[in-house]
Amino acid sequence: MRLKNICKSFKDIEVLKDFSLNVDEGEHIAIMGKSGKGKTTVLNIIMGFELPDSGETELPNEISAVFQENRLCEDFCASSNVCLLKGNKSLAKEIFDKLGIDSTKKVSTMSGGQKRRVALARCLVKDAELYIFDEALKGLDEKTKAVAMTVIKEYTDGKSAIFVTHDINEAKDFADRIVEI
Amino acid sequence: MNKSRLHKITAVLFALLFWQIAAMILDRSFLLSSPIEVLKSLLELGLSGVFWTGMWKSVCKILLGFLSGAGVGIFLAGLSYRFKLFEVYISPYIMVIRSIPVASFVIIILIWLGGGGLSLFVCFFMVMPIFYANTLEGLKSVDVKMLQMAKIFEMSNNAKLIYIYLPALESFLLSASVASIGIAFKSGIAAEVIGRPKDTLGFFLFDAKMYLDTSKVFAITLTVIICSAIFERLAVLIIKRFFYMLKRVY
Repeated sequence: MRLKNICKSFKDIEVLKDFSLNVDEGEHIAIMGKSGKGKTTVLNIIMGFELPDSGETELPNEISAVFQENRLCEDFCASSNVCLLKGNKSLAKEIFDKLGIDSTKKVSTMSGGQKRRVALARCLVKDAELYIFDEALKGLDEKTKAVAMTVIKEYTDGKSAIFVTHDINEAKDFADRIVEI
Repeated sequence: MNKSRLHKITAVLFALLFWQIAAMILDRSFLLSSPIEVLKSLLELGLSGVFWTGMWKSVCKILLGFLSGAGVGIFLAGLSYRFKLFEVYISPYIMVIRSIPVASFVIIILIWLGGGGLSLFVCFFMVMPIFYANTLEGLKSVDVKMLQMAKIFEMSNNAKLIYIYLPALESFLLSASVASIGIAFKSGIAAEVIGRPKDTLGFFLFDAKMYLDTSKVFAITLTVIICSAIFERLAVLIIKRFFYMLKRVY
């Protein structure tokens, strides 16, 4: 995945100026930076939700993501949320077990941390070329964070991944390289 | 029995008592029939086969008008959501249909199509814009972020419909049903009173008015209110059940 000299403005506010980013095959990178620096804009450009004003992009076809918000179908159970996608059911079950999720439970009745883990499971079940984790461990307690990080590393091993976080320890734990915005 | 239920029953009993006292003071049955006279008329109507046939005819036409109006309204809203230009081109028609008074509709349809399917067409035109507006609003309320999620996870159109669009539409369809069933019954009966298709509730109502049979007018009105309330609850129940099953099955 490659972004080269990307510029992006919203109305008169310039969010990105000559921003470049490469993620090699199998590489894990972490993006850090203060709020409002354009981290979400970079991810939106990578996911194809926004077009840059100028610059070059080379984007993978298959992307999977944990968004900043959970973006789950609240009225349905965890299993439906994951399996409605073109996901492998046995893989979904395996990841649910590792993350300690009751797959039959309706998402709207889950706690914030449980919902976050469902969003994480949904992301990992998809076989993608690039995995994006936008503050994926937000709202999890320390013990669950450690388990989730182990699961993320296990299922993204050998695949490209971008991990956006404010926590330097998470970034160091996950990434081969840290990029500051 | 809980307190609020008890208060509701007491309120109805008080209203009936007030009505009875007012009728007794006025002592003019053709101006204000008493609840007992209305009940007598209702029993008389209930014993007449013609009344039941008429009621069946009216209710069927009104419900058919309601269902076709709801179906077409939802379909057109889907097209408007999918094709922005379609929404622009259809909006003048919807606006005109919404603004035309029921009486004008009745006369126009009476001239064009005669009295047979009058209540059906009037109900259709009353219900369709309500479902159109509510469904379109519901579709537009779908969170763009959920659609972005659907794109990333390559959800099929069916999955998008079941997991994203239909849950967003639930409350909008419920309020459209509640709002339009009452309107369908009111406009359908009004159409029958003006067009007077034979042996329908509207026809009986006009007939009762001709003979100043106020208790019969009240009894038929009560029948319409009861039908409207029953079908309103039934519609809500069916829609709620549909969404409940949808969430259980998937």
